[in-house]
Amino acid sequence: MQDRPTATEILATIGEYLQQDVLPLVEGAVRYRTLVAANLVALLGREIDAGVGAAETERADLVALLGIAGAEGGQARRVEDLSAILQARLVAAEPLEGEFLRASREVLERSVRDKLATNKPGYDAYDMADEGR
Amino acid sequence: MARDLESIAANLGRYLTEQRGSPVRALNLVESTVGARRGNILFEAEDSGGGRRALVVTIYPPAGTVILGVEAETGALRLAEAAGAPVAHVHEVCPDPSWFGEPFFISTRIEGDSLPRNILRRVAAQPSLGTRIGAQLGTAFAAIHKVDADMVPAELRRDPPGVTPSEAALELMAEQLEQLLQPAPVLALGLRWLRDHQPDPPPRRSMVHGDVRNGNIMVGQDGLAAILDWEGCHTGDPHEDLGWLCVRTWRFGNDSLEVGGFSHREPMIEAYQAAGALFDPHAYAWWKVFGTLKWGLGLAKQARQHLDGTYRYIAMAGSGRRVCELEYDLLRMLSRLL
Repeated sequence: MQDRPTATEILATIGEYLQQDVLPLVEGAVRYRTLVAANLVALLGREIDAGVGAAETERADLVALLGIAGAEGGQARRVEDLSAILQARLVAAEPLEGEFLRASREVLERSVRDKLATNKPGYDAYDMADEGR
Repeated sequence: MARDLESIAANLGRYLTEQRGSPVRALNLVESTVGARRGNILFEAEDSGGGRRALVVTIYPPAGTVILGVEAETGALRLAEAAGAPVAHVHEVCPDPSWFGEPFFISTRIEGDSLPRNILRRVAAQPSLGTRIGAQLGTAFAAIHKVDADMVPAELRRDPPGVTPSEAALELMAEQLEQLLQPAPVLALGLRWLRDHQPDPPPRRSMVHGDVRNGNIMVGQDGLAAILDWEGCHTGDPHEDLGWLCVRTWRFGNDSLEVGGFSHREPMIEAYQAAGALFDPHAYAWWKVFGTLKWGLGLAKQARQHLDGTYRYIAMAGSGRRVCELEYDLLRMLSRLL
């Protein structure tokens, strides 16, 4: 086990340093880059806090959606490979409708919301589906 | 990018003196932060009688990264101005790189704000200003789109014969999807939907600005003062401009105001139609989905260029983690449309 500070404590410390010590001293392009850096450090902290739960949910969702089970379902299959299979099926589906599409959208929306929770918390408070045509 | 403003001032003076045939001095140079890719330098030109004019010189980026040549871009700008769109008047166009290392043009300086957050701050203090900008953009679009595709400079991108604007746009997009660093089923689903639901081609093709958004407009005391940055100008379906302007990213958090975070869509559409332009709600909805997918792919491309070393830049690393915002918007829009 690693000694304190933990990874998230170190990231929080770097974030404070950027915000409190560096930002007041810089302007223009450097200020912008510093803000981006502070934002990325905060994002990393949230990613570590989220742990592997979201990735495991996504993997289980994809395995169920794609009907890949048992030995060939491959405990070894990575989320990336499963996503590629889903992508190929969505592109090839003819026509693009019905239960597979509905279930796919549900799985994809859950994974996107999980990504947002790390990258941009609160972004999903607004819904573009409400914008009339 | 730091430039030697003193030598630029001397060269501007010499150039303008040569053009006008009487002595001109360039004074008070300030490098603008607007348009990061190219150099925009604000200055004053003083003639021999002491009269001063506020101008801006736009110096092109290095040749390999030029999207549209200086003559084509200023040609489009002048067509837009003649059609009645608010743009900076172009005074001088110089393709000769010997003055500043790259081609340049000189235009009237327009006073106002172009930083999105400044514009949204002003609109928050005075909501009627936002509605006014929305309507002014509708009128400006009608003017730009009045320019027929056959009239524009030959260098502007146009669709191959027999190919509709939506088909041509999707073809460019499919290439980008293939270059992604990882599978992206949401973006692929968006592309599939766009393919399956293409709008009717517009009755006529027109000049399209291609990048009108909060960030590329100048807002003065009376609202919209100018539409900036014409380097993405091409020909196609006018609804492309309307849809792109209303992509959520350009609302900068002011999400419920569809047009740039400052106006609902109705003032824009009403003014567009009142000025004689045709508005097709399906085409608008389609191009808004298109714009959302386009920006998602654009952000993914920035991350790729950072990671492969083409353009190492921290903000572009951050772009990779913004793709999911556009994926979310896409999925939500499709939940209504699929």
